[in-house]
Amino acid sequence: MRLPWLGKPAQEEDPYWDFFLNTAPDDVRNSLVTTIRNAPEGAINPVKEDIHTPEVMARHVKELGAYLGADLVGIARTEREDYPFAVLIAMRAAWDPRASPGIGGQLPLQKGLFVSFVMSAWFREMGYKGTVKEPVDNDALAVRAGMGTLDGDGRLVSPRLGPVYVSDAILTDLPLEADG
Amino acid sequence: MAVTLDRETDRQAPESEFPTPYLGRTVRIVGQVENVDTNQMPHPKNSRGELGTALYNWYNNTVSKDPIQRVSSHNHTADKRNVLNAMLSRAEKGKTNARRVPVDDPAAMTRHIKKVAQLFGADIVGIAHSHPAFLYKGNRRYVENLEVGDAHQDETPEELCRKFPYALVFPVAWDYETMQAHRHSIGDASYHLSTQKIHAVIASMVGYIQELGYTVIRGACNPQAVALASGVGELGRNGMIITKKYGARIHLQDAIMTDLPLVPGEPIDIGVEDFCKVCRKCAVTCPTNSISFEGKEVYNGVEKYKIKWLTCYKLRPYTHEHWISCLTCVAVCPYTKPTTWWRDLAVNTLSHTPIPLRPLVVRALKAIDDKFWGVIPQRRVRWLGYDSGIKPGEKVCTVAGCTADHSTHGQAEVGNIGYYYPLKENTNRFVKRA
Repeated sequence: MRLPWLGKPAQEEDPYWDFFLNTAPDDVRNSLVTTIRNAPEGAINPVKEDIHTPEVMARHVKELGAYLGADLVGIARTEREDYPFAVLIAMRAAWDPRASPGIGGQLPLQKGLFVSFVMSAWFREMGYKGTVKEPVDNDALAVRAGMGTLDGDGRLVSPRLGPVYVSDAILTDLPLEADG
Repeated sequence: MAVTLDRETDRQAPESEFPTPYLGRTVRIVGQVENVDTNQMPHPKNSRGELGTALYNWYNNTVSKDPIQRVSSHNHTADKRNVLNAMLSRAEKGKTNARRVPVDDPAAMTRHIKKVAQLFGADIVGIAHSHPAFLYKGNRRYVENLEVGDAHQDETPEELCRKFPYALVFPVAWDYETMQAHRHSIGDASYHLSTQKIHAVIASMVGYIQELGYTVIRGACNPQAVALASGVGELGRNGMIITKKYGARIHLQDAIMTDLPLVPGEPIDIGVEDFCKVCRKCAVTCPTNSISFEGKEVYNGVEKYKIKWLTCYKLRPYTHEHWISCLTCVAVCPYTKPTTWWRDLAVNTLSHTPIPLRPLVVRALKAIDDKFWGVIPQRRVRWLGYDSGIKPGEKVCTVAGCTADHSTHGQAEVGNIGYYYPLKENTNRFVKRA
């Protein structure tokens, strides 16, 4: 609910808002989503850091995610032996990035990619695997991690934040405590 | 290009195409201004080895022991692919959209651009009129760690300012809590992770303005001049832009120029001129004595507080085992406080006080600052398993609930005091070597 004396949301009076949200980029290189997705992943540090217990590391992963701007961070156990954990990065999404191809429409995805780039690099620099290049079902893993439930349109709805967009799943072998 | 810029000239030639830019009360143009030569800036000089072997090796050949540093500081990592801004610099650049979005109302576009930049992560947006004096010498471009070039580098500064009449900066604030552990790897994380954010913000804004169908020139002008002219903040004794909301804890990175029709801002007065005359906290606590206790000086035709950048810069190789960025002058600045109502009240009180009465208000605010915040913040900060209460060089796990069998040992400081290394005792060494 919006209080009447606060006026209309800024975007309702913005003649360029629709362009921002809905016009797909003419040159995809102008979108940071493309740039970050195409960036190669760095090497895994051959020297492993002295890490804390899985419960503490899970707490630190969530703390770093929030520090970098993630609205919600979940950890799910996967079925894979090479990457036993998935760290899910979710952002509040007032609009659905799947239906909003503009640079602004992709904003929840872009912000999530920023978090997952830095966090996966942090895993690798600590001497553990960390990749976002493996194809996985982000939403299914997010549900498994207890981040929310899927609505009729297949969007993840968090009990605390409402509709959220799971931008990325970082697969890792860093020992963590899974949620859910 | 050289220009003579002063308020007198401005008054005599109001019809001038590029009148003297007014930069607020903290910086005054009083004489002949030579455009800043990027080749004489610290990082380029260091990259050519002109500042000595220790600094050259610090910048080019050191890898941090800290994994957060290795993912956030492009010149202290073994693998640049793990650092976002290094990846952004290598990415292919997009083109300007041939189908231009018409702008009938520059004020509406200004509101839109500010909203968009804030959604991308900018904490402040500054828009100024371009001015030939803001440009780098020889129409060069400068963006740290990035080879930038464009099709307009053969044009004169005046031609460039006519074509691209607006200059923008998108400052991003460092996190306040982690910045309290300055001269510590926690403070480094505050500084360097926000650097990654601002690189993402600038790249996003460049891409978006190009998608709107307008040209962007990156790294052509001095971001501090743009920040002053646009009202982002005022220049402090510590050589930093001090903003109303975040104090000195902001990154400016590089400015862009564009032909997108916008409405520029105006310089602000938040009392920095009055405060810095009295305060001197940054000068007292600078571990290298790089900040002047004296008044302003005229340098290159500009009257301002001038810091000794070389002594500041020379500290780094001596501390890189423990931390990279000092940040003391930012952390101790009374304007650098959490964004709370009492902070806003103090700044608003000062900026609404008539100028002749401000010294009284400043003395009162300074006394309050000294009483409640101390001369130098040394609060113990714990973040992600880091703890500024642990003696530098030692390792010990102080994380609550951690039962891991760590193979390291050490001793945590007792109480709520952080350990910030090295302190004032190194001052003379750096002054003598400067």
